[in-house]
Amino acid sequence: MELASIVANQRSEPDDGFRCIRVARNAIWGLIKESRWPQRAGYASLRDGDTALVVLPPNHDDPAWTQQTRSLLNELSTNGFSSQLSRALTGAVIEMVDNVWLHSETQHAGLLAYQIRRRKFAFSVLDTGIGMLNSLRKNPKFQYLTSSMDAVGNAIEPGVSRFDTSGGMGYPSLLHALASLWGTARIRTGEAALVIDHTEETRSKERVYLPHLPGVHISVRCALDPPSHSRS
Amino acid sequence: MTRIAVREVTARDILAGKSDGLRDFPKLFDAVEQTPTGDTIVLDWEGVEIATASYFGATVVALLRMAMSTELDRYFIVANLNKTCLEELKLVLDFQGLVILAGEWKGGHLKKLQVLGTLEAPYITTLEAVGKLESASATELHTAQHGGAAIGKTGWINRLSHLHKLRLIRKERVGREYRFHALS
Repeated sequence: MELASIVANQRSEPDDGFRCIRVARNAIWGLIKESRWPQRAGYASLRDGDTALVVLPPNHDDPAWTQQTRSLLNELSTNGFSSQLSRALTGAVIEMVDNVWLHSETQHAGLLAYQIRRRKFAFSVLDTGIGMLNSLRKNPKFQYLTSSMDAVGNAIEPGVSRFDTSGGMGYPSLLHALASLWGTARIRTGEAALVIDHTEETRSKERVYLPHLPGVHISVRCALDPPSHSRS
Repeated sequence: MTRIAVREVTARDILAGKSDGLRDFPKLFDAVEQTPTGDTIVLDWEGVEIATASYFGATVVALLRMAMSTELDRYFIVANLNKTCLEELKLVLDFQGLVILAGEWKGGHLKKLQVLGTLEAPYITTLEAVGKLESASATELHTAQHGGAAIGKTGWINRLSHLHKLRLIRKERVGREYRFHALS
């Protein structure tokens, strides 16, 4: 399987506990370029040390996916995260994955990569679908949006969704789960990347323009302890 | 008062995302529909490990909105939510400007009831006054001036009506006046 080689290729690189982010980034670019993105066929999971790469099943009701989420919850709990944080983070991961099912509108499977170390967690959720701008513009309320940067800026607000009722709480859940943690959350779609940075005492948001990327790619690195540079 | 065990109805302990919510809403709605009209439903989340804001949005909030629009004549209380679930529910309630009573269900009784969501102080005072008396009319609250606030009878009527609209107290017509009852 192509994904296995992507994971294996990362073994030679220095591992800072966030290897899964690079695995996901390489997966999305490598597979897009080579048109080898897995079809929405079924669940598959690869494990390499503390890094897991999951080919998401076609829908949320797959028992193997449920088992995967339970395993993620347990792993977080046994790696120093409180039960409350473990639940919040697992819930946030599921919310991001659910966005793939609800919004990506692609026949290609989404991917989830994650890595858990003692008091440290990173995950990446990605799809090659229509992206945030095209998804939000399906809601008449957001047809005025013209750029991916506008779309991503709006999407993190509560209630912003292509659906008019009861949607748009996924990103607020994610940000709430990360509120007490150190790290970064990066939301990449189209030409836009929004980085929410909590590696310093003061949380900041940075908007970056980048080459076009289909779909949505979420990368989260978080830790219970502050990065060493912000301790001094 | 009827208890509905969410864990049993959904047969799951991880309830996350809108997709799960849309899947489970009909099951919860069916369970609610089997209770008598005007009943107070305790949605018991014992055994549910994870429930996220999107899930609550597609289930509890949807039921609450139906009740508020009188489409569904029921009153809802949530019970036994773990702290993470409570915070997730609060996230969506705050955004939608809704409130619900939350507490613990132990041995067939509700304990430690609190208002989840944002409710302004005068309404909290009124809710507490009704809770203490179990049942009250605007005239009685006006006469007793509960909470130490010197407000007119119309003020009490408005407060009670708003709390009823939020489905935090039930309303019953008695003679020419309405009486308002605590849910628990």
